Amino acid sequence: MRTAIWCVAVDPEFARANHCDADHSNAADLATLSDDELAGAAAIGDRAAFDELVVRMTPPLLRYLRRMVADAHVAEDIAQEALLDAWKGLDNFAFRSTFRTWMFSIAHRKCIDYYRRHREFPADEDELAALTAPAPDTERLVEHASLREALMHELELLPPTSRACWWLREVEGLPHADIAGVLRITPTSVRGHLQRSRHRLADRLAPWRPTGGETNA
Amino acid sequence: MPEQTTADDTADSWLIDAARQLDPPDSEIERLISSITAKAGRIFTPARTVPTDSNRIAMSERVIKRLVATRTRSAIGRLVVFAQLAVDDDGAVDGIRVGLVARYRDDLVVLSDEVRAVVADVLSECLGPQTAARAGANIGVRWQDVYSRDWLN
Repeated sequence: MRTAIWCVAVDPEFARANHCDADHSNAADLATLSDDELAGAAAIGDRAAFDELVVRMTPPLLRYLRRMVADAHVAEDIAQEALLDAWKGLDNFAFRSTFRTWMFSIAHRKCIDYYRRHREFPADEDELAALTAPAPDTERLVEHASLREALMHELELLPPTSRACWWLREVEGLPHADIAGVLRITPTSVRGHLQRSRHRLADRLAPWRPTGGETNA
Repeated sequence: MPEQTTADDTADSWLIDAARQLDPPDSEIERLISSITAKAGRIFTPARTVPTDSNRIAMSERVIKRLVATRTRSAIGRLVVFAQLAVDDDGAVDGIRVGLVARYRDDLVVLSDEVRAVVADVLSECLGPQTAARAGANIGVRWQDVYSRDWLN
């Protein structure tokens, strides 16, 4: 009778140690490799490649999630869950999108799940978009808030999908088609959300618009 | 290719600059990265097991692939992005296909032989010399273009 024994042949530190070992001067420099190359290697279990992806993806994911959920700790939890899910599911990542887009998709789905569990916004987002945001007391804001604070405030007032479109396009630089994939809406809808968000933010934050000099950042 | 923009598609750069200053502090990011990498190391992923020279030992397919990837990268400096074990009707490994990312001016014939040597060593260590001998005679190596990701012939 065969006795199956799990052979733990890989020390958890094995992969990490190898690529920075001075004896391995021929080793690939992971920092020079693209996200998708690293994802390919991570998909077959290369931990060092995955660790490099974590270093690259954590900042953009966290800043996106910090804009999408109010609680900073929840944003961290979602970013962590998204990356760990990616590690578990890399076998199924078929390169139909870039790794970066795939990661934002996972994170966004987790945001939606979180919204549903906590009912942070109405089920029908159009309902929310139709609501008129309270006009800010512009004079008070200009006097007391920096552009960053005012921008954070205005982003929070945008409907979640518009906020996501604006952030993924303007800050993360994702193409319209990729944003559509992340948010599961059409590229035309992405353009509509973007246009409205740009106009609204530019309008509401006009007092901070630089006039050839510096802003009150 | 960069996405085309139109006059209607432009954003206010001063707003984008301000948005980029909303990054969380570095200390938070570093703490989170440490937490994620530590937890990733503890995730158990089930995988098929394959027989070895010893009836008492079965080897996880995932361990073999992982060793192939890390050993090849550290020894040859090329990234393994594909690894698939071939098994016979009894579930024994009788070959392996490995895909790697090439660099310009690589001598693919020479590098392929080096990859085969590394992979053969891994198979021998994991499966035992007898099982590895059969599998080691059937090591397929394919290369991807570094930019297009297309498989090279």
